[in-house]
Amino acid sequence: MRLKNDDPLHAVNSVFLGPRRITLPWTARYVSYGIGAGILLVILVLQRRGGIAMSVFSFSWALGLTVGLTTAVGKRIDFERPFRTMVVAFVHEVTAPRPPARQSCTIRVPKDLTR
Amino acid sequence: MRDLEVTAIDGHLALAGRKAVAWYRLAPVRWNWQPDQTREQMIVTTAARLAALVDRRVMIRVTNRPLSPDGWARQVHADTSNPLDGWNPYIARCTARLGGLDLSEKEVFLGVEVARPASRLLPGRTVERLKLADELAELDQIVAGPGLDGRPATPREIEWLIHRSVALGCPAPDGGDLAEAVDRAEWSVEPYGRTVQVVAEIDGVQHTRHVAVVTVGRMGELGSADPWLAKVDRLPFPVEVAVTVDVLPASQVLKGVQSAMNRVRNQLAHFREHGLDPPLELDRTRQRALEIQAEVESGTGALATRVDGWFRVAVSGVDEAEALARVRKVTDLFSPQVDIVRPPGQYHLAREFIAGEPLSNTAHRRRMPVETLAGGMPMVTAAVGHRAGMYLGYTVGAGGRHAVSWDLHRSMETRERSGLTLIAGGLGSGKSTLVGRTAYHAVLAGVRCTLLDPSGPLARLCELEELAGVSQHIDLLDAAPGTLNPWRIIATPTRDQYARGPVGDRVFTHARTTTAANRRALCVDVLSMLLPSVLAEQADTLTALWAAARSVADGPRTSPRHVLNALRLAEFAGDDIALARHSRKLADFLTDMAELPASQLIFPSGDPAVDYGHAADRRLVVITMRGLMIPKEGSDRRDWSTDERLALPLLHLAAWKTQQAIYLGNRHERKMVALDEVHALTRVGSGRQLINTASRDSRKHNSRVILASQNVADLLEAGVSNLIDNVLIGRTEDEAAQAEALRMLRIPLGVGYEAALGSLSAHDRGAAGRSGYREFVFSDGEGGIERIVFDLSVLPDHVRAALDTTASPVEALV
Repeated sequence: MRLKNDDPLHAVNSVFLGPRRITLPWTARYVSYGIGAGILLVILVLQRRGGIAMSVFSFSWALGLTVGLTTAVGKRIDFERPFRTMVVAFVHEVTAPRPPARQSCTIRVPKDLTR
Repeated sequence: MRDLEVTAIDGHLALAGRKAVAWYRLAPVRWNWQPDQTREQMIVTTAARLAALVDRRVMIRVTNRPLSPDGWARQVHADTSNPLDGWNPYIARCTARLGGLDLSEKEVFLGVEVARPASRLLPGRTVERLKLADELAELDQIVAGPGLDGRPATPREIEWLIHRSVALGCPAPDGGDLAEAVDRAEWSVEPYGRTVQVVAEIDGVQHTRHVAVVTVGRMGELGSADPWLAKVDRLPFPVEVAVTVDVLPASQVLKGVQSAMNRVRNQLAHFREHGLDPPLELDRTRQRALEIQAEVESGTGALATRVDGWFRVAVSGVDEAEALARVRKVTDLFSPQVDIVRPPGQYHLAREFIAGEPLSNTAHRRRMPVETLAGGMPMVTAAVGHRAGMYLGYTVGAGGRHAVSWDLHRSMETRERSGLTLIAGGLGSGKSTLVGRTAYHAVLAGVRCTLLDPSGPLARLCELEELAGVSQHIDLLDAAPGTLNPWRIIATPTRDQYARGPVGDRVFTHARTTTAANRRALCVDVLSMLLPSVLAEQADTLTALWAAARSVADGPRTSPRHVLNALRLAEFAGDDIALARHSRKLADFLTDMAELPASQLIFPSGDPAVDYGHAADRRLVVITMRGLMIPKEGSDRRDWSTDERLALPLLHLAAWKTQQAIYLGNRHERKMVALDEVHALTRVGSGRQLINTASRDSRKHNSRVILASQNVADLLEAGVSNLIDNVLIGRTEDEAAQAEALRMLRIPLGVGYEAALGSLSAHDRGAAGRSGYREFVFSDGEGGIERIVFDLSVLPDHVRAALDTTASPVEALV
């Protein structure tokens, strides 16, 4: 008996090649465009907050940073680790208890657990 | 402080927030030594059970109940009432040896999530449970069915599981009460740390462990012969397993398939739109989606059901380096078919091991048919033997190196079963050594042992310094006259062996009468065996022998010489002159036989009431028969020499003497009787009867009866196959003997296990010396069958030398 799994069903990387009849020189997943848009928005907001005015130069800088960050994030996500699980893992890392020098967590079992 | 999700345990329900989880303990499953067909059937049955839990979240939690070598020693010692001086150093050696072996017991829990009623009630109210009663009854029934064989876990077991998980990776007290020992643990982790540090105080000792949680990543196609989830049992260190599974309804599966198909179609169209070749991966996905769609739409039951699962394994070490080194071992174990990944968010992943805690992250979701999940078979166990008892050796093969202990008297005292053990194997398979090793343990533990070893090497046990004072070696060809006197070897019942009162009186009187009859019957059998066939076959012979035996008084001074005198006087014949003449002829012939030196064992000259050193005060009696001329099997009695004719009654009486050890002393006292080279005994009808009786009486008289032979068929001849408790099969090369051995082990024939018996204790062709180890297939009588290495390293050198039956040319020069 062979024991199969359904991994192949979900192991598809849906990529966007470009608009009809215009093939882009790079290949990126749809999800990367979404993440990239989010990152760009955050960078632009940070620029404004930081007092950097919108200009061709600042936008190009933001775009370049977005491509770099999106590529870095894209390498860490796939069908096994969707973007949202990466965010969840990040939140968990931030909220996890630290060693005694900083912060520790005591897990205590209630005394009257059994009814 | 972070509280647990679980707030209360009610029966087998763990209540946590808005959900409740019903916990069950799954029965262990024997996998090794099963035919492939049975294994596949087991997977399908388990899959069908899991499929019945559709639309539910199911948790599988595998843990172990540890036993330290010291805990083992304490249990063994507590079970020993009257040990000899050598006991403590012997147990210390065993304890040291067990340090490197796994002594834990695997426990598998299954949790099924049930929705709590909308109105959350305070813990302690049973109304909530009543509302869930129907749902729980249905779940109980599903989980109890074949394939899972689960029973509702007790509140104490659930609490134990929670405490074990809170102190994740930390040592637990021996099989004991974890709730008493640990109620809290400190958990911490560095940012993006590779392990979680768990500090727990157990029994007043602070333990620190670094726990790394890994998860099962992408999987290839797996075979069903090797349960993939149970592979972790082979690791030389304990790990914890936590699996969360969503059993999906068909509609959800079809929705997923449809979505995947749409994705594939869109991508194919997109690539065509750009005039590019689509990746092959898309085609494979499309193909698999169509297969799954067909399975779900047309299949029924298990095949149609799909699960989404998250499989976590927690590996611990005393420091981070050890934990990570162990993670690498886990990765190697599953490679290359299954990827093992260590994801970020270790703290929350580790919390998943605590019953009631939620799934921390949906990354590394495994999607599979329920059959593939069932094929993981986490319930599989390679455990064999008992929790405590004589350390016998360790398992080899797929199940890892588990220590194997054998409790010699558990079957009779706890399970109310026979105490019959069969040991079979070809020449040099280690049978005699195993018998001797078992006797050594038993004698040190205060058990009265009697061994019949016709060829004699086990007699060396009596010379061991620690046993010499309590041992007696009886070499039948050099024993005191009368040692095998039938009136001496069948013990006289004593009143204190029976209950007080009139009923006891009656039973005692009955036992005395039966004893007297048995002695007469034995004497008649023996005298008959001594006669040449011409005389033995005459009708008057038995009449005369019985009459003479009846005419002598039953008492400690009686011997077969009294029967000879009765035959010579023939007073019982009365007016029957022919019978009187025949009787005197028998007396003449038997007197001649009685004058032979070896016959003195049966026909003592002088006062037969002399104390021949009866073994009642000896803990170890080894009876040997070196030089005995046993007639060849199938040879005509008329062709037997005088020595051969004398050999059979001697063997017969020796076996009786050995068997009588069962009845010596208090019937509750622990005893052990071993008959080596049984093939010599089963040639005699009464010998076979004797083995049968000994086996039947072993339970009532708390005796472990061990029969050892080269061929299982010899043992089957005694008609004891339905009384067998344990079986140990050593290397067996003969095909017919292999088939008999498998039949005895209740393993199906013709599925390849015959060769496995031939490969036991395999000697490396390139090795210059002796292989130095022996392997057996051990069936513990409680469902466990495993291949084990028989470990003699716990015995001191002088004991091993005494038990070594292999010829040594060096010894010949000494």
